Order: sequence, then C-alpha cells, then structure tokens
Amino acid sequence: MRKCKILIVFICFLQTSFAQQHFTISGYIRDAKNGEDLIGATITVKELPGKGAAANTYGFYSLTLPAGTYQITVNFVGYAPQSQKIELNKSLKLDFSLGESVNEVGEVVITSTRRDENVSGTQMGEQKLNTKEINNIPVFFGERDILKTIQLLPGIKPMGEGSSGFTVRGGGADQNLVLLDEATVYNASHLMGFFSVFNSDAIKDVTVYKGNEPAIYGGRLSSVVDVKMNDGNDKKIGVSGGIGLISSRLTVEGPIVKNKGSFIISARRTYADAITQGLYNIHVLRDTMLNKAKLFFYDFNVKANYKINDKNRVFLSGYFGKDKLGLGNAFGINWGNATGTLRWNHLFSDRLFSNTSLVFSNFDYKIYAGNNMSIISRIQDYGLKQDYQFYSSDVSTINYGFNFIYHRIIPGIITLDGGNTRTLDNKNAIENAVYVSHKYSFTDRLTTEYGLRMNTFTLLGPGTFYTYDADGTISDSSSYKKLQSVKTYPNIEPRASLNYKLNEVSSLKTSYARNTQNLHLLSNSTSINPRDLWIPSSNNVKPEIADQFAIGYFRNFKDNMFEFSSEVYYKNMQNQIGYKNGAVLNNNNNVESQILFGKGRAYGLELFFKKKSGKFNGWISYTLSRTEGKFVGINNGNYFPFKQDRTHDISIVGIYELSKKWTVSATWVYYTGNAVTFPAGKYQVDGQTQYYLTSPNSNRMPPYHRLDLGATYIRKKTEKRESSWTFSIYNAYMHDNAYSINFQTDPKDPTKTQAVQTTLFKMVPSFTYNFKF
Amino acid sequence: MRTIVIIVAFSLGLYSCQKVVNLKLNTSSSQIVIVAKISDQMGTDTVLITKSVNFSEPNVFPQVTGAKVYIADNEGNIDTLKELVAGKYITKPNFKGVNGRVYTLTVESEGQTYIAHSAIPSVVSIDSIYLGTNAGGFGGGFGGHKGKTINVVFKDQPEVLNFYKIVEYINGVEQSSNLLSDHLLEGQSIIRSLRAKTAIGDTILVELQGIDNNVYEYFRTAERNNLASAMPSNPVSNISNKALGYFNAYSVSVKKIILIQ
Repeated sequence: MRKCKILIVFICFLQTSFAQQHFTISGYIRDAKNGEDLIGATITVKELPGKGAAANTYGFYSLTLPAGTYQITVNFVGYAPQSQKIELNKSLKLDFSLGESVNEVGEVVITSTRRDENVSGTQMGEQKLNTKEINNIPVFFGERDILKTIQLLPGIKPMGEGSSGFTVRGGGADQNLVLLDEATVYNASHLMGFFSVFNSDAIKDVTVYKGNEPAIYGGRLSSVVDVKMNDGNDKKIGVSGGIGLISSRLTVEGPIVKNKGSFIISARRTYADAITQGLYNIHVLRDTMLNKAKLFFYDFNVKANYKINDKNRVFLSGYFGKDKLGLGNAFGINWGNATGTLRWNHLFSDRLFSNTSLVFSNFDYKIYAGNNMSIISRIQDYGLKQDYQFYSSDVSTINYGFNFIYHRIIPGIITLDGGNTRTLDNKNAIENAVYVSHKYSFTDRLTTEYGLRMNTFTLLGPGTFYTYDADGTISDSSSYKKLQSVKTYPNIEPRASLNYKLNEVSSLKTSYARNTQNLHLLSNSTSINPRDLWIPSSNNVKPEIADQFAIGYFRNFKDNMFEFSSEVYYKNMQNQIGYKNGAVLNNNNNVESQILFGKGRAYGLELFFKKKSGKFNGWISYTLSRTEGKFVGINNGNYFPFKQDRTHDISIVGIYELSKKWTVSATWVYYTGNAVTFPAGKYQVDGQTQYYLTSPNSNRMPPYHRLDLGATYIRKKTEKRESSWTFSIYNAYMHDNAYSINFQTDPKDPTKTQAVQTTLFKMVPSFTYNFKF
Repeated sequence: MRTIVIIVAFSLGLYSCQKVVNLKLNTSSSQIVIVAKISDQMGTDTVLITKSVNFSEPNVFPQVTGAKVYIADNEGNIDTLKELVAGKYITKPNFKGVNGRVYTLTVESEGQTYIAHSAIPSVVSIDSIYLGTNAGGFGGGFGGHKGKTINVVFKDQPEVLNFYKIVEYINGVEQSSNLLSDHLLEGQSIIRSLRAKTAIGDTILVELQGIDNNVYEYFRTAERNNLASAMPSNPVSNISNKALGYFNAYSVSVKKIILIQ
C-alpha cells in the first residue's frame, strides 16, 4: 500500500513537472547583405536571463524554452542587434538576417561574440577572431595574416622571425592542429614563414583552443586552430581585392542561385622575384646568387554551397597553394598544400543537427638540383567525419560523432643522376575516433562541459618494420602485408571544464584535458622547414600524450567595455621526441633509430586585458612561462629548456579611429629570446677552431622586440563601392632582432673568435590599395 | 635552409644585416683535445694534444706536454711515441700501418687515461683526377660557383661498407675536405667534385683516405656542429673519457696534377 502511494505521488510529481510544455525555436542567423552564416551569433531571452544559445559553425541555433511570451535578441560582433517578440506555443522556425552596425565607430569595434562571453562561457583557453577584428591590425607587408594575429594573444607565440610555425603553451610547432574547413593543413606557411597560407579575404572565422578543446577535436597535443572559409555572397556578385608592394589578391563571389547557393573564389600571388629580377637588372644585385632567383607563391581558395531544401545543405571547399623557391635550374624547392572538403548539413529535427564531411588533405615538397636529381616527399589524408549536435534542452547540448582518417606518408622518392631511383618505405595508418560531449548548466551560475574522446591509431602494412637496439642498429625485422595491422594504440582522452559565475561580471573557471598525438614531425632545424618529416606512431614510436590543467579568473568592467582574463596552466607531456647526437633524419629509412624519447612539462601564467569598444581600443597580453624536457641521453638526464621556452612574452595592440576616413594602429611585441646552445669554449682540430658545447639550451638569444605602425585611409565607402589604402611599417624603430647567431674567427684578428648576429629585417614599409565592389 | 631563409628575407625586405655582438657565454674547464692520425704509408705519424680554452680568450690553445702516448695493433706490436716538440708526439720513423689491423691509441696525461680504436681499411685507389665543371651533388647547390674545379674518380668496393675523406691540397695548402660514405653507391664508380677554386699553374694533390665508421661519424657530426640544428652537440669522438678530437687510422691513395691550361 505504502509503495503504491509513493508511486502515485511520484507520477503526479512527474506530471506536474511536465505540465509545463517546452517548445523549440530554431533557425539560421545570417548576414543580411551577403547571406554568410554568422558563427557564434548569440540569442538571448529578455525574460529568462542566463538562458540562451549560440549559432553553430553553420549559423544554426536551437533553443528549447517553456511555453510563453518572450523577447528574443540576436547579437553578433559588428552587427546591429535584432529583437523579436514571440509567442512560444508551438515549435518555431525563426531565421535572422543581421545588418552591419552603423555606429560612429564603424569597423573598429572589437568585441567578443557574446558581450560577456569571456565571463559566461565554459570554454577556457579559447580565443575567437573574425576578420573584422583582424582587418585593422598592422602586420607584415600590410597582409592581414590570421596566424600572425593570433600570436599577439597570450599563450600563443611565434617560433621566431622567419617562421610561421607557432608554439602554444610551450608545445612544439607540430603540436598544433590547423584546420581549414575541417581539413588538416600540414604546413601553414609560405616562403619560409613570412606569410601564412590563409588569405584573410576568404576567411570568415578563426577559433583557437589552447589545449582544452572540446571532445570533437583531437590529434595534436597543444592547440587547435579551426579556420572557416567564407561561403560567398548569395545575393549579388562581389569583387574585392588589393594590389600591394609584394603581393596582390583578388576575390570573386556571388550567388549560384540567389538566396539558395553561392560561391567564392580567392586568389593571391606574390612577386618578390619580379622585384629581385628588377634589381638584378639595375646592377644592384649583379654579383650575388640572386641573379636567377625564383621566389613566389600563389594560392587559391574555392568554395561553393547550395541549400537543397530547408533541411539539407551541401558545401564544397578547396584550397590549393604552391611555393616555388629556387636559383634557376641549379637548385630549388617547391612545396604546397591542397585541401578539399565536401560537407552535408542535415536537420533531423529542430533539435538534432548533423554534419557529414568527406575530407582530403595533401602536403608535398620537391627539392631538385640540376635536371636529373630530385627528392619528392608527401603526406596525404583521406577522411570521413560525422558530427551530431543535439540541443536537448535549454540547459543541455550534446555533441557526439565519429571520424576515420587514412594517412599515407611517402617519406621520400629520391632520383639521382643516372636515373637511379630509391624509394624510402611508405607509411600507411588509420586513425579512428568516437566522441561524446555534454554541455550542461546546473544552475545559471554553474555550467560545465565535459566529454570523452576515444581514439585508435593503427599503423598498417605493407612493408618491413624494424626494431632497433640502443645504439641504433637493427635488431629485428618483420614483414607485413597490405592493410595488415603492425601496431595499434588505443587512447582515451577525457575533457572537462567547469565555470562558476561569482557574480554578473566575473567568473572562475577550471579545466582538464588529455590529448594524444600520433603524427610526429621530425625536424633538424630550429625553424619549420619543408624538409621536416612526418612519421606515424609505430612499434618503436609511442603516441605523445599531454595532460593539461588550467584555472582562470575572468572579469569584465564598465558594462563589458573592458575584459580581463587570467589563466594559469600546467601541462605534462609524455613520449616526447628528441634526437641522438648527429641524428640523420633525411633520406634515412631507419629514421626511428635516430630518435630518443623523454618527457616534458610546461606551465605558465597568462594575463589579458582588452578594451572592446570606443574610438580607441586594443589589448595587452602578457605570458610568463616555462617549458622543459627530460631525456635519457641528453643533459645527463636532467631537465633542460625546450628551444621554444620563452620566459616573458608581451604584446600590446592599439587601434584608434582618428576620423571617418583615417584609422591608425600600433603593435608592440617583446619576448625573451629562444633557448639555444652557444659555445662554452673552443679548441683546435686540424687547424680549424671548433666550439665546445656544454649543457643544451642553456643560453638565450637576445630579447626580441619591435614596433609596427599602420594606417588605413578609406578613400571611398558607399553601398556599391569601397576603396582604401593601407600603409604599414614593420619594425618602425629598426631594432636589430637576431634571426641567428653564428660564431667565427674574427676576420680582422685571427687570434680572436666572435659572435655574429644576422638580422632579417631592419624596417619594412609597405602599402596596399584595396577595393571592393 | 638557413641560406634560403636569408635570401628570401633579403629579396622581400632588402634590409637584412649582420653585426658583431657581445654575448654572455658560459665557461668551461679546459678539456683535453687529441688529434691522432696514422696511415698505411711509410713515415712518421703524429698525435697532437692540446687543451680547450674559454670563448672569450685568445685563440692560443695550450699544448699538453709530458703525456705518455702508445699506439698498439691487434697483433701485439706497441709503439711508444716520443714528444718531438711541446704537444706533438710522433711514432718511430719507419712506422707503417697495415690494412685490416685494428690500432689502439692510449694517452695518459694528468692522471687520466684516454683510449681509442681505429682500423685501417683496405686501399681504394683513385682512378683519375681532372679539371671539369661542377658535377654537383645534393647539398652542393649553393656551393657552386663559376669556374672549374677538380673532379675525382674512383671505384667503390662492393660488398664492403666504405667511408671516404677526400683531402685536396692546392699548392701545398690544405683545402676543406669532402666526406662521403658509399651509401646508395655501393660498388659503383664515383665521381666527386671538390669545391676549391682552381687557377692555371696550380699544383693539385688529391688524397683519397679510406676511413673507418667511427672516424666517419666524427667528421660527419663535426660538420653538423652548426648550432642551427635542433639539438647541437659536440662531435661524436672515438676517444674515451670525454676527450675531444679523434683517432684516425686510414688508408691512402694519392694523385697529383699540375694545371697547365
């Protein structure tokens, strides 16, 4: 009897709680002028503060609320907010088209997607940028460069001048997953790092996760840089571009079918070789090797999308880029990336969004000398990704999915004089992952995002696989057939973060993530070099593992005009790769015998202060950090700093709108030099002075600092046409930043040795004419 | 790669430059440096023993005197070297290394003992040397220059791992040497271009040294001792007890020409 009563009470209770029916509003948030999806646009409900939603990567949002009358407001950076009153008594399809904000401040506004996102979002170590924010920062040669801009944020540092490789929270340059519309970009740099492969005219959104990414991402230890391309104007044809001192670019976009589909094509090319050639012709460089220098890159971004119906949409995107560097036919190196993605969005219901992607990625290089000798190397990915987003309630969203990637690595096909060809063993591998992730608000103060990613990496035959003993000689070998498994590594990667809102303007966040990495970049030099070699995990090489903990305090001031973030992180890394003394990495079939394994740890404090609105805005970022490794066989097994260790890193960015026509900006960066090994002594062998080295990386390059100035003059801005001039000066006070330091006998006094520093750029002015119609 | 980066920068910016800088460097205690060479040619062979100094000091490398130096072969013969001048120890005058024998160098100095082993490979003879245009080779891309250089031709021994050091003397002055292994070239006829510029009237002497694996490793890692590499370190010496330098027991083939035209 008692049990029945309890049961009835329970059922009645359930009835009551379900008596309040819930309905879903869902739809797409787009730009009114060109139809682009606004990624991250936010929906808030006036009557229910704390409840809301954000548009996903495709501009789709879904919000389930109890029945009632509400005022819904949609917000996005650079756009005028829109409000709408709704009667929610059944599920509604509600799309929004936002117009650009027309306030005095114009394009200079830098705000985060939700005005207090840094305080209320659970995501830690995440930075979002869209191109409106990138446009006004003075960068190298006036080329707006996404990768250079993110390096002005805390925790993300350049590897050095002359390298677009970057390091996030002390990780190596290969520990960053760079994605372009979901395809991996293996080498994100043109011309040895002076430019990145991203043409910002074609890019819509960049999100950077500094190691605590949600479970949908995996594969690299330190960061994810997720870059999304523009879809193209689906209302009318537009042409934009720029002509500059060193490079030019052109973008054409337009509708395929008005309001249903669009395309965009962007192209870019540098012509530094034309300048070199010109200088040769006027005798300036006649006696140098630059007489026949060939030096250029070009890239294309192509994208098309089509809305089949209200529930289905397809996208096709591609990127193709090539760098050519050489001296006539004597010597040269060409390299480039290609990516391709085919995606299908499907709405199963107004709460279940699905995306299926087929992904292709290729990176290759060719080095040639004379007409007969060459080395070709390549890495290719073929993948399938399936992602679901289930907006289960107004406090809960579940993301889940799986993906397969097939990796194919051709380490080298070497052709020598006389037609001999030698092929290093190709590597094949499959990487599978399944993930689930839940975003949940316990109360309107406490929210969490937690998830699990399970990843399996399998190295496949065909081929012969070796094991080595301690001094690098082959101790065993086994043969495998095609698609036979040589070695499998399963990995579990938990992710969790928690956000506690202390009050309306401040919050405390903490997070933990484990990341594993199964593709490792072997590099013999201090900067990213196209000849660096990717190797898969194998019977000799274990997956790299990183566990990162972070805790942070976030506060906004003056109604979200100022944003302050502070984060402390600690990252523990296992199975890190080091090199034996004199390791031979190129053209070596037994490259796995040349490496050593060890561990690493990185920790630091990141401070960030940003002014987001007003005539003057900008930010200051400061990072204090340390990253070090410990290997048996190096430094007597003691910890030593990794080369990317930099104690202090400061960036200050300021942008000021002088008038409707003129905007000026300045960037100042300062960072401690890289850890390097300099001689501690010298000795003589066969008449040559040799340098004696002691502890690795126990010296520092001199501190790096420079000031960049920029100005934009808007010549004309109407509904139909825009044109402007951008001027920039790189390294305005001409500080001699050390690119490298070499040691030699003093040419004027053979009894002495000296250190000689090479600086790449003293001061580089540049201007570009930009147009849009 | 470093050269390429600088060329790119130069083309883009036209403003790169170099200057001498004063750095605060670490110091180290003085390390012993042993450079020992014996060959299969008749004549005295030498062992030079010096010490290292700190970077900021002048290039005066102190000689090590009073050391006991022995060279023994694996057939029981031992030669005690005599100190000719400070730091220079020589074998007996009719010392001749034998191809195939393993030699052991022992140096005792200041209470420490340093030991090294090296085997003299069999002789590989130079077929010819001639003046020709640069035959290239990977890594030689930027080393090329207008003008002719000396090419060396020799036939590698099949079935055996061979390592070579080619030393060129122009008018008696030693030029920078070429190092190679027979990797990818087993049993083939090898042509190598030497880098040094030549002029009419020069007397060119080319010495093809057959060296053993450990000595090749020393020279290879000494060449790579450029601090631009990811993990710079001291060359791999075949001498024990942390001594710097090397012990090279090598076979020799020599050819000489005079450039008339």
